[in-house]
Amino acid sequence: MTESRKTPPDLDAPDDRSLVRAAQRGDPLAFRSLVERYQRRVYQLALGMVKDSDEAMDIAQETFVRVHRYLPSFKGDSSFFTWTYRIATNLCLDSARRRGRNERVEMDEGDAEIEAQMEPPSAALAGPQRAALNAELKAKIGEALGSLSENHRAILLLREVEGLSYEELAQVLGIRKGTVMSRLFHARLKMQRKLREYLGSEGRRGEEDE
Amino acid sequence: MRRGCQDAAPLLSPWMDGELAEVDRRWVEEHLASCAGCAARSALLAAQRDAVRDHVVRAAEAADLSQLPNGVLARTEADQRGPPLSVRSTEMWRAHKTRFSVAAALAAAASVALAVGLRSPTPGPSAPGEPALMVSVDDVDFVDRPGMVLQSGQTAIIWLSPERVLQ
Repeated sequence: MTESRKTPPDLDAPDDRSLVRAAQRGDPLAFRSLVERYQRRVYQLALGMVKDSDEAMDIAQETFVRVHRYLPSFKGDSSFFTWTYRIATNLCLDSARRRGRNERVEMDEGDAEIEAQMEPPSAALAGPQRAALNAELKAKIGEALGSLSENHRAILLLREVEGLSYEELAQVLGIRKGTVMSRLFHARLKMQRKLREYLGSEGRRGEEDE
Repeated sequence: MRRGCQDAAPLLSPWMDGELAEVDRRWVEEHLASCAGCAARSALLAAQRDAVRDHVVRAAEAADLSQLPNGVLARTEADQRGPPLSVRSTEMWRAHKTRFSVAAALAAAASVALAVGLRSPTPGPSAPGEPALMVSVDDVDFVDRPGMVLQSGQTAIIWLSPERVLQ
């Protein structure tokens, strides 16, 4: 997958900065290269956020249309992909709000949540084999992701899937680094709780079967 | 104060992300080496991260994005040309419709009054039994030209928008 950040860089490929400069001068091929380089990641983020492939495609397209529109004002203070992600994330959040989903305001729970996390992991997860989630649990990941608020889902996707640093997350989401740390912590905790519930019931069912 | 699991729990997330300061990172790693509960918690966090990544990447892999750049470029080219004429004309028409209507109605009234005046050597109130002068104003659409028609008896005045609407 050429678009992935994890792919070793193609040394012959021009870097983002030179492509951006060329695109700012009106070179359509340079702009096309930028689209091709990041389209998979932008689509991936949109799909994770909205869960509908057509809508995710529309958001991906709209993201790059806006990138093109605002490219002349892009000064390079942040990296190109961070800037692009910011546009994409805002579009995803706008789309979710337009669909009338109530934005669940996530209050960062205090000590009670941290204490809840202090409970030892369930028996289903404590052993070395159990550290890797099983296939059935993976199927529940989408469900658990869907139950998160938009803000929690966005930060989780940007971190877990796209691997953005806390600094980059702060830039993309327009929040402070401390808020990044706190929001990510709570997003993970909520995911864990959803999956834990599932695992718990599966564990009990397994015991009954035996 | 001796730091324990209570202190470690909130640090596991940034530790996994490589975002802890050196002193905290070392402490968390020492703690993990001696605490099975926190080691299991950190393993769970890592497994959850991997599962989320797998789930989203696999879902997106199925998508055919080959036409996305073409779609984007087509739209950016359209952006550079500006909105199509039909859009501009329609918007202009909508924006000024009321003004056009009033102007056209006044023109119609004046025309009708003039026509009536020319026909009648002694203009004045309608004679008893004559039908009252009725003026109607309707929107019309001649395929590529919006406009209005003012009708008064046998007299019709057609006003067309100065801009053509490209279909």
